[in-house]
Amino acid sequence: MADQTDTPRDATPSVLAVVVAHQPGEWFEETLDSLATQDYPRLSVVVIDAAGDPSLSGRVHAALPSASVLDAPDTSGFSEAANAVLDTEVDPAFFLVCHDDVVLASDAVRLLVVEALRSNSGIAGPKLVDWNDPERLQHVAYEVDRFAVAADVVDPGEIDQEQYDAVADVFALPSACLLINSALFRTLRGFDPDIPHRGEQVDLCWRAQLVGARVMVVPDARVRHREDLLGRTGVDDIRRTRARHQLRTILVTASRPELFVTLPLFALLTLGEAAIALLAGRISQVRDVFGAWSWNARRLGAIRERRRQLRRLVRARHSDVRAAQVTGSVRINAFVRGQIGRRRDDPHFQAIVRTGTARVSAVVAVVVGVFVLFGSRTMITDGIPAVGEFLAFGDAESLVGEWWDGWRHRDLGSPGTPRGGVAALGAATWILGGADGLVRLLWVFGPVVAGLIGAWRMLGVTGSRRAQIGALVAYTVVPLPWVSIETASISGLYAYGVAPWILAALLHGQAVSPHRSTSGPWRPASAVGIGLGISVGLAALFVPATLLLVIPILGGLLAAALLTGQLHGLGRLMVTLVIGAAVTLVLALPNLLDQLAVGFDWAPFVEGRSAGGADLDLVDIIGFALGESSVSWLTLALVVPLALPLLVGRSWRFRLAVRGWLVAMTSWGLVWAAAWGALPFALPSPAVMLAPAAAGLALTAGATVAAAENDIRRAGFGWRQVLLPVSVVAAFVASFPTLALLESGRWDMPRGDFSQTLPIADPSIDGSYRILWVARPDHLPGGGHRLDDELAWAVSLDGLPLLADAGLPADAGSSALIAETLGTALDGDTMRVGRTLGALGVRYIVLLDRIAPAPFGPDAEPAAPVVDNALGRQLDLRRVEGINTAMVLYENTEWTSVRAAGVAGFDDGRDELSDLEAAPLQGTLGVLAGRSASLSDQLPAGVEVYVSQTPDTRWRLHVDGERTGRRRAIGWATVFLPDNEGQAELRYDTPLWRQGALLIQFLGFVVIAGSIVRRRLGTRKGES
Amino acid sequence: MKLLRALVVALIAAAVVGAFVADQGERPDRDVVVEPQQAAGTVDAGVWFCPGGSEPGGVAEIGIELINVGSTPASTLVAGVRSGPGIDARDVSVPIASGERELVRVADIVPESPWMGAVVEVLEGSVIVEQTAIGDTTDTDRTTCHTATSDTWVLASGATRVAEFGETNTILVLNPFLEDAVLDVRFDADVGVDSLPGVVAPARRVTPIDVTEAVTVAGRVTAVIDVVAGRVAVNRIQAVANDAQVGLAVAPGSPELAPVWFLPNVNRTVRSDVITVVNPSTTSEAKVDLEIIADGTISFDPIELTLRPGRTAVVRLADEERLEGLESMSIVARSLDGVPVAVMNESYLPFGDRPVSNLSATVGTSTMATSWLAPIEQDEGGLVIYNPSIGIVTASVSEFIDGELVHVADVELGGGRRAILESSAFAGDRPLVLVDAPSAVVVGRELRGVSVHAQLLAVPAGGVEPLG
Repeated sequence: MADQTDTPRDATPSVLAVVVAHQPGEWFEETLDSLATQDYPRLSVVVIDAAGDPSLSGRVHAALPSASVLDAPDTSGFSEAANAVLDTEVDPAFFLVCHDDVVLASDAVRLLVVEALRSNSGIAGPKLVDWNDPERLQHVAYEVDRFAVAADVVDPGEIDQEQYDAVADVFALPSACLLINSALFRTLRGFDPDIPHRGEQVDLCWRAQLVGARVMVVPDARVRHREDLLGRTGVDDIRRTRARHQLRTILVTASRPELFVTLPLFALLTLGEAAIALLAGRISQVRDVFGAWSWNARRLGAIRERRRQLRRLVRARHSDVRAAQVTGSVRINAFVRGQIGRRRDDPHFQAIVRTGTARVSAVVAVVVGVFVLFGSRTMITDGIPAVGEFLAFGDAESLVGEWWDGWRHRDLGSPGTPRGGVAALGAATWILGGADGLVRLLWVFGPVVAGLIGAWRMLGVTGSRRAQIGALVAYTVVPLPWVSIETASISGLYAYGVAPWILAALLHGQAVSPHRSTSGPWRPASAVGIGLGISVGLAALFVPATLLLVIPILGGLLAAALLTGQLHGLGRLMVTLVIGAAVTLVLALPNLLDQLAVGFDWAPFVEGRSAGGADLDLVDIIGFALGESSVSWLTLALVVPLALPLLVGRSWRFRLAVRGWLVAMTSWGLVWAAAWGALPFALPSPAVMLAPAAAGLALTAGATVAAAENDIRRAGFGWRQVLLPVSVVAAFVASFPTLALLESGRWDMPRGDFSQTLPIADPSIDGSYRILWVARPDHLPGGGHRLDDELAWAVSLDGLPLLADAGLPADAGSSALIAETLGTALDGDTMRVGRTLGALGVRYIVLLDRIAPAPFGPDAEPAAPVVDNALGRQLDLRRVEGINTAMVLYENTEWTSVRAAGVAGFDDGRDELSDLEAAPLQGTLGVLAGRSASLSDQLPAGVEVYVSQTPDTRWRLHVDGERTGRRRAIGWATVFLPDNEGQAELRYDTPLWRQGALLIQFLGFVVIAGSIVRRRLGTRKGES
Repeated sequence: MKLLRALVVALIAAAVVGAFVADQGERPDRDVVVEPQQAAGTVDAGVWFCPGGSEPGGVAEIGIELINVGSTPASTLVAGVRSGPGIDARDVSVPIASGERELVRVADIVPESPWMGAVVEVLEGSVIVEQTAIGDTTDTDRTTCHTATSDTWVLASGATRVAEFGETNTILVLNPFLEDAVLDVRFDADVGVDSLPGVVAPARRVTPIDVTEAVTVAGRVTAVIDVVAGRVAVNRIQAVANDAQVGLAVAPGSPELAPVWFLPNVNRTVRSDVITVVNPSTTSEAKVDLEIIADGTISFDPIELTLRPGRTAVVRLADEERLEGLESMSIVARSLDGVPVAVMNESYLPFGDRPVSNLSATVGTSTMATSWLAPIEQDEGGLVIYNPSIGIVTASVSEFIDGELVHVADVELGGGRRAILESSAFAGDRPLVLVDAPSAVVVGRELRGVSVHAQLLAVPAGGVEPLG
């Protein structure tokens, strides 16, 4: 420190270093020494004792005899303590506000002052480097969003390579060391005293800019900073204080119009953060984020006063200040980066984000995002109709309730658990207050995004961002997800979403180059297996058929291993699979138990499809042309770029391409063989089974780019170089079919559903009833049972099938009766099929020609003319005329309510269903209407209650609390025998073992979700 | 590496090319639900539609005869269908012992209805259902009920000269279903053309269409019914009552058109037979040959007809002088260009000087089968067996007696020839006859008694195929 007795040049402005000390440790002397050794001539020092430390004065004067010590023990926090200097008589040109744990380079103050004068900045700050490792950057400046959330421009642990050494305007600077124009500091009345720390710098800098001051970073000025507030205070209140102070800063600094926008958005962010925190089991975080609102509400008076004071000072336009902020949300950006990338303290991550392709990656990610959003624009604005497998949700409570009750209402009813995803979607809908439109969007587009992320991550180990981009772009333009949306195939979407994750896991599982190289990352089999199990298990919660995707992918990889002679790692791969299977089983436990209870049944996986072939030719299969408007042959142009790594690739690029090709070929081959009826078993939807092909193509596309990057570039000019532009053109041509789907804004998905066009009765009037649906399997809502090689059937209760009806139950219950009865009509053996179906509760029969009503979607030939003719011959079915042309509707005039009251002996003489042809059930009255495992109604005297569903002794009827007897009726149904009239309750007592399994499934889901969220959030602790 | 690369590229290319080549082949048939062809029109039919007749005392009082042609007891449900509003008809269960016949008087289950029909559901067993009609003119007729409804019907012939000849013609439309049907009726008569568009056939009702009123004073009227909505079954009731003729003919409508029809027994001396051929097509001309199937070795050139679109040709066999000396024959009506047509033969059979005469009609058949069942009467008449193939066929003729099948005769038929078995060849009072042949034949029957004269086909029992 220069002696203050020296005569400074008149032009040199005075600087008063204001060191806020709070029981500093042994490092403090180093701090004081750094001030003492400054080469700036007019620097004086005042140390503010914020803790009433009696030894402080001695320590200060030992190092800086001329320094003053200002007692401020009554202050609370850094801000108020620093503001104490404003109460003194000193009036320097600049204040240098410092923490007590900084060490300034000897020229730091001079550089700051020089730049402050040259730039006329109000606040200037140095570059902060790590206390122990000065080569690592700590802070340079903060980017701040409209929510006053600050983000470092440097990454943790980033090496100082002078990459930030340009003087620049910034939005905010760390408060560890700030040179502040004293007039400005006085005008602003210093820091906000109600923001003692964490956020005080953002608030000060924001206000400074509003009054027209510049905030600048002067990186040539270096300051070491210890930054261990948490360690010194021992109190982890980071989250709580940040949330409070951010909201306070908004409330103080934002203009009124801005508040109208910012506050609701902040509230939404609060809700989102709380939801994620809840998922992660962080109850305290929920309390903190909500507590910020109440904390500020209690200080509204002070906030109004500060707003009033600030308003008088404002010289700059709010919009100009807003323009200096980052767009979007720093918190969301950080969360997303955490999701899609590696941990921020992973050196590998930091290395690759700063390669030249990082910017290209960001651009490509934006382009892909815009592509998806633009292509889906009308789905986002208009919602997703309930067509095909995009079933209607029903209310949120029912979704969760049916999952918990363990009774499937579809077909003729049976014990069983709906897919676990039903409960998750129900819970999400409930959390969002019934906003199922948003949940439906997430349900449909979630797997698309997951698939794209999975494709991106597949080649992360290669270290080539371009290869990752190639895989991502290929997986985006492949038509599969978009035709899945067009054909309302949720199973296709979830297969698309999980396929790249399975492929990547199995590649990591085998751990051959590039997924295990000397320099690249290597993941233990257990971790890979758990990841595989989680991926498959989560997808299977929504679409069980995705379990089967492991088979073609594994088959393709094994074939590739054989072909290329890379057989090592197969044992490890098997270990991975076993671990993955174990994890998956936990997530699918209830459904697994359902299967075990009845013996394994393939039908729930194929949902009405037969082994008898399909109308798909090879070009359609390879081109993923599963939709009505698909142009398959253009997609074949992909062969050109995908052949490139086979022809020119070396090392792992070649082998990776072989794996991708063989995975794709295995997938295509299976679907093709099924289309020819060459398999002894049926396969799930082609959209599901082609997902591995899409993932294989993406993998190969990545290998193509990597080969172009490494192998073509290094070769001399020749045919290889010619192949590259040809491949680019071919890839562009191959993307046409997908690009063509952009026009509609909904991937050509129908705009309407049958809910408004199906003239069916209100079940609350005449009692619950069933609807028998007959259609092609791909058109049948909710999946069905095989009728023939082209048709399937399903039965729903009280209207259109709901999400809880998705998928065939493992236990089919008495559903075979529907098939038998329908068969008698088709064989021409009865003209009174309505009487038999009526006793099964079937009131309507719907033949669907397509997934959506006219005029939505292309015209279609009648799907089931033979069935139509057979039903048309029936004497007790009334064909309903004047309805939508996409369907044929028959009403059964001989139907009996699913739960009906009849006088005693109403079914006398009808021992079998066939007896009903001559003597139908008559004189019954619908009761206990509804779709629930617990129903109640008032019963008249002298009646029996006919319940036409799969008999199960766990269904019990209580009348006025008294359990009633029962008997079998018509060979299959149940008749309850109440002794007298009264309030009846029909209830299904769910077995405890089933609820136990559901709890395990739920806990497994929560643990996984929580661990994922925790991992991605990666809370950083420890800052000053 | 080069070898591996070549191997991989070659294998992948071969697999892809091979798959494309293989994909061009014919795919295997898929297992799809098909129409139950075998049952329709055979003894295995699960339902029979009898468009019916009139109430007692009307032009044609209807009765339903149920014939159990199986070896086990049969169970049926007969549902009456009334015309117009009124008291609902009843359903009755009718059990039938093996080989037995049960007669149901439809008026017993359809109260107070001028017209009535029935739907018979066969719940168990094999049953043939025929409807009998008793006219107020003392004539009776009999016809097999339909086994299917259709959306097109052709009634080739009829007459409406009520004032001059006492001819009345009524079409009965049975709509057994729960939704109304809408019909467009086109008439082509010797007095011109006419139509009745938009005739509503209410659900579960018999709807009479009085042709006599719609097309007056026609010596020949053809009706083509297009069912715009729904499906129906149709019969025609033709009555005659004048000084020279008294008769009643209940003829089934033709639910389908075909290029080849077989009329089993046509007569040009004892009876006065008139063959009507209709070309309902609105665009195609039909060249139709009426091939004469005579007994013995005599052969005749066919009667050649050319029918413009929508027109009808009438052939009075008595007027065909070149058939001089030929009394009885069968006729195959063959459309040479394959244009589908409909055919009807109407016969007037005088009974000497008695004041009873008889009228009958048949639409023939367009199918052949290897097995036929024929309920006949032990009066005059009998069976006609025709071999439409070019080879020799030996048909085995058996009779059900007390539930047992008793062989009666083997009938050898040359290609394109026919044979007649008189009813006297059988032992029972009302024989039930089974005709089996190694290849498809056609079996017709003629019932003739004091009050009955009916031309009928036997009912196919197996091996059914189109007559070609």
